[in-house]
Amino acid sequence: MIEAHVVNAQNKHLYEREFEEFLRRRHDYYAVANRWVSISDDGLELDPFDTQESTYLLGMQEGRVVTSARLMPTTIPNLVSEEFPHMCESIGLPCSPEWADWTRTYVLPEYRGVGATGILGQMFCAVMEYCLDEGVTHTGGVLQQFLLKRWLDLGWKVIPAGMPRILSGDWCLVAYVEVNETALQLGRSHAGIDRPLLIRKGAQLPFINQDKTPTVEAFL
Amino acid sequence: MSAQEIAVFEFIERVDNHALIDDLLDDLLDVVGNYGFQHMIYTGLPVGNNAIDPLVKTNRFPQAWWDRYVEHDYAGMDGVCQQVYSTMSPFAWNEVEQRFAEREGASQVAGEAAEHGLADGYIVPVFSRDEWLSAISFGAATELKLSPRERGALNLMAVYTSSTIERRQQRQPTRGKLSSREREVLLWISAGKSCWDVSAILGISEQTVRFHTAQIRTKFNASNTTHAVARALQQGEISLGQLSESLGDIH
Repeated sequence: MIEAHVVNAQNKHLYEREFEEFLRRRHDYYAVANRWVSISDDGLELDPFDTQESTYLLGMQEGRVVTSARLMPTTIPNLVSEEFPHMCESIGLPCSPEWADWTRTYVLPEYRGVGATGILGQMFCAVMEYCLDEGVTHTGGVLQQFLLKRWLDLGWKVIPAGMPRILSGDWCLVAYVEVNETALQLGRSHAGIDRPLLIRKGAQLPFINQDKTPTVEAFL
Repeated sequence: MSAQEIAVFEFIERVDNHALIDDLLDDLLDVVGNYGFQHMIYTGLPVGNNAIDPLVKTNRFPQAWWDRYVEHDYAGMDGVCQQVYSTMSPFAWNEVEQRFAEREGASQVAGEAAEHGLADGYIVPVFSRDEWLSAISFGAATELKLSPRERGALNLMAVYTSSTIERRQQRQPTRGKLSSREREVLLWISAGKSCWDVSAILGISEQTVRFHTAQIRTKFNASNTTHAVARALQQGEISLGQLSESLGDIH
C-alpha cells in the first residue's frame, strides 16, 4: 500500500531527493523513451504548471516515489484553461476555488499492473481523500477515455466537460469527478483499502485560500 | 453545440437513473438513433474457440441475426470482432483493416449482417470492470460517414452506458450458475487440490466431490475441470481475488 505524502511550497524541502528522483524517472519515460515532450537540460520533467501554487501527492513505497498526482485550483492558469478550453463546450471552463485541476497521474512503469487493487487505484483514493479533506467539491482535467471508464467503474459520478477528441493518437476528454464521502468509500472498497493513505509532514497550506473571496462563478 | 450534442450530455446526466437496464437501452437507442444507429450490443470477447454467447451483457441486435451469429460461431470469422483483439481504438465497421476483412468468412459475415439490417456500425472497445476485453457495438441499416465529433459522442455514450450496465448487473446477479458448495469445490480444484484432497478438506466423500465437479463441467459446457475453471473466471462465477485467497490458504 502506498503512503500518499502531501507536498506543497511550504514543505517541499522535506522531499527534495525523492521529488527529484521522481521527476528524473518521469523525464526518462516521457522525454527519452517516448519523445512525448522535449528533453530538458537538467534531466527533470517540469511544465509551466509546476508552480508555487501546485500541490503534489507523492505515492511512496519503501522510501521511493512510485506514483504521483498534481492538483491546483482552477482559478489560476492550468492545463485545461491554457491548452484545452475548447474541450469544455458542455459545462464551460471551470473556474472555482472548489474545483481542482488534476494532472500528472503517473505510475512508474514497473509498478503498473492490471486490476482494481493496483497502485493507480490507490492514487485515485488518495486524491479523493485529499480533496475531501480540503473542501474541494470537484476534481479532474484532461484524461484518456479508458481512465474515464476506470473512474465510472468505481461508482464515481463524473461530469464530462465536453466531447472526447483525439489528442496525440488517443481519445481524451476533459471531465470532473464529484468529491464526496461516498466516492471515497466506493474507491476504497474497490481498491481494497481500509485506511487513510495521506501523510502530512511539516507546514501545510490549505488548498482553498480563505483570504481570496471567490469572484468568479463556477460556470463561465 | 447542436441539439443532437446537447441530447448526448442530457443522456449522460440520466444514465444512472433508469429503473431497469432495458429502460436505459431504450433511452440509448433513442439518442444514438440521431446518429443513424438502430441496434446495440455490449459483450465480452471470447478467448480462443470459446463461444461469445455467455459473455453478452446486453443485446439489442436483431434476434434472427444474433441466433445465426452464435450458432455458426461467427465471432471467430467476423473482421470487426477480430480487429478488437488488436486495438482499443473505436472504429466504424466499414473501416476494418484489410488483414481482418480478408480473412476467411469475414466478407460472408459482413454480407449476412447487412441482409439482417446491419450494413454498418461503430464499435467501442472497453475493458470491463473485471478487466475483461469487451466492446459496445452500435449497428446501422445503412453505411455511415461519421465525423470525429460524432465518434466522440458515441464513445462517450458507450463508456458511460457500459459502466452503468456492469455496475447494475453486479448489484443484481442474474447468473449464479454455481451453488456455494460447487463454488467451494471449484476454488479448491483451481488451487491444485485433487478430488481426494478436497473431500478431506470439506469433510465429504470423494464420490460427492466427483459428483460436484461433473455438475460444474456440465454447467459450463466444459470438456474438463481446467476448462471449467477458465469459463467460471471468464463469466465472473469465481474471481481472481477468490482464487488468490484460496491459493493463499495453501502456501
